[in-house]
Amino acid sequence: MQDSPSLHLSRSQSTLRAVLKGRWCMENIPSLHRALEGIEGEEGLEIVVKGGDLEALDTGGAYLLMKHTRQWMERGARVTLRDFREDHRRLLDLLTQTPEVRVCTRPVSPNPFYQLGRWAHALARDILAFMAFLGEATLTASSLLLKPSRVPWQEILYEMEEAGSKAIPIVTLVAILAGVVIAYQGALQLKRFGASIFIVDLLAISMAREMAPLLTAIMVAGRSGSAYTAQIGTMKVNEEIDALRTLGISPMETLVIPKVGALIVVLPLLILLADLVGIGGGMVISRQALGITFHDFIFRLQEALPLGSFLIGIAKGPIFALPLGLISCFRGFQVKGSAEEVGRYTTMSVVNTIFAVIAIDAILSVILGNMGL
Amino acid sequence: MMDEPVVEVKGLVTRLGGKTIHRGIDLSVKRGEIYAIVGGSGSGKTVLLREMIMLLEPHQGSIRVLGHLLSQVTPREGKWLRSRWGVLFQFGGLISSLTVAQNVALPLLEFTSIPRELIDELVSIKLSLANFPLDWACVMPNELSGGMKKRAALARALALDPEILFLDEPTSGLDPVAAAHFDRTIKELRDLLGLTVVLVTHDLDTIESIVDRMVILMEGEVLVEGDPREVARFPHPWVQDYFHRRKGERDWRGR
Repeated sequence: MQDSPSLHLSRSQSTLRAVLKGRWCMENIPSLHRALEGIEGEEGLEIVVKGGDLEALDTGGAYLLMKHTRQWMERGARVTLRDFREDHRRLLDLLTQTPEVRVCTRPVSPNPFYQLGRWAHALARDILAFMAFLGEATLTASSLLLKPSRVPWQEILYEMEEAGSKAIPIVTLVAILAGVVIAYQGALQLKRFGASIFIVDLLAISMAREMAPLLTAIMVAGRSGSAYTAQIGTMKVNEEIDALRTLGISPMETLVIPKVGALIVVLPLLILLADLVGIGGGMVISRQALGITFHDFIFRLQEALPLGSFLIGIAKGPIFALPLGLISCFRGFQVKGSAEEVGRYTTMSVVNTIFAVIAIDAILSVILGNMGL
Repeated sequence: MMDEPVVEVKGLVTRLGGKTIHRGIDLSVKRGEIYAIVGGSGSGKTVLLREMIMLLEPHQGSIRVLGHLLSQVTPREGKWLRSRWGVLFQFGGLISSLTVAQNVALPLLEFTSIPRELIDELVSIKLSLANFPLDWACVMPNELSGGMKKRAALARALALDPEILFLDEPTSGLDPVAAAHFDRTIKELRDLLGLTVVLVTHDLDTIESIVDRMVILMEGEVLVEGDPREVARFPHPWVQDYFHRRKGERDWRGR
């Protein structure tokens, strides 16, 4: 390029003449920086910088020149700037006035103790806030029980359709696949012991008691829980929640109660569906892999699956639905400020709800096991 | 080369979602001027601005920026052009996962190979040019007020010392004092750095205090283009309403 920037130096005894040419612009800073670093500003040296031939000077070039001028002067040299065009001179003046400050643009990695403390503080704050939320939800729910005419039936039915009916295809598919997997794995092991018929016990109990409730709850957490957080969070960002409050409408009553209520009704129903299709899927595999006829399978099923185990599985529906709905709504209300927060809290909500479901399931297993159920 | 318009729009037609937004727009922006695009809501001002910065493509017609025909630029030229202009979006458009200082450093890291410690100093210079308080440089954008966001975004737009500054409603959402201050900053920067400024605005104060030339868009066409004082005298009900409603007539008739 013809207009590449340059620096011509000529030295006579104690005077150094530096003639600047070309474009002293942002894109040329690296090479100009190297060129200027070659000048040593020693005690008593007189440096004359001539800028009359400059084609262009922008803040980058001017900043670089002033930075080095300052350094030369600190080392005891005398620096004079000559022949600069009027606009260039003004730019240089401006940059002499601005102090040389560095601001951090590098990502800083915070102290691990600081992070641990921050995390613990956030956790404690979240737990306290969730307690308050739980209290408000309980109060609202009990006031609705006393005044059933105020129960938002229409919203509950809408949420039931959203979280229930629309989840039927995916829950069916997942439950069939789970039944198929359990039956296949079981068949391989049981065949070796000649205890093929016990595939029914294995399948029925694991499906009805554990797999169907867990899988369904996880699917609902991913489908509806995340949607609740995102919906409430977006409403929070758009100031819709504040608008509802000023209109005298309780967001707890119109948003949280219908969602949690709908989940409590719908989750056991979805679990029942998962039981049926999961065991059905296993039944088909049992015939293919072990030669157990549908007749034998169903006959054995009546003995293999005690009513208690089946009911425990169904009862897990409301037990899971309550924390699932409450946590996902709570996370939605925690959103404040920007749209970015909505995504962050939705992620947290899904992680929290799935963890809560699995933790509660583990606790239930221990308690029920000790009770001999 | 100096007399050639910096931005030149000819016969521009834009259709969006089956609606014709522009039906043949011609305008030109000269080097070193502050040029305002004005028009009622939905007149396609922001769309026009987005076409000038290659975020949208017009249906027909041509846009030349710094002599390059935007519809025919190669990816390389496109990258170069993008480094020659800075854009201030209406709500700042700051990257929310980076601090203010990192936002300003972003174009410098992307387009240049300047050593890191020089970048840190350049960032502080750009922030002070945009009147952004340096103590706030390491703050995340969502902790800033609207006015501070605009100043931070202006600093980022200035990062590469662009030739053209595109501003989308620079003073919307600012209080009148902050808006006047922002206007002054833009004018000072233009005088100091020789920028060409193209802005979309509704703000009569901005037009009165800093704008050199302006265009009014109406129903997809250019209603009038020229010096604000001439435009204010243009006999069209919308223009008369626009200039004389809020401020009272003495401001404009007295000149």
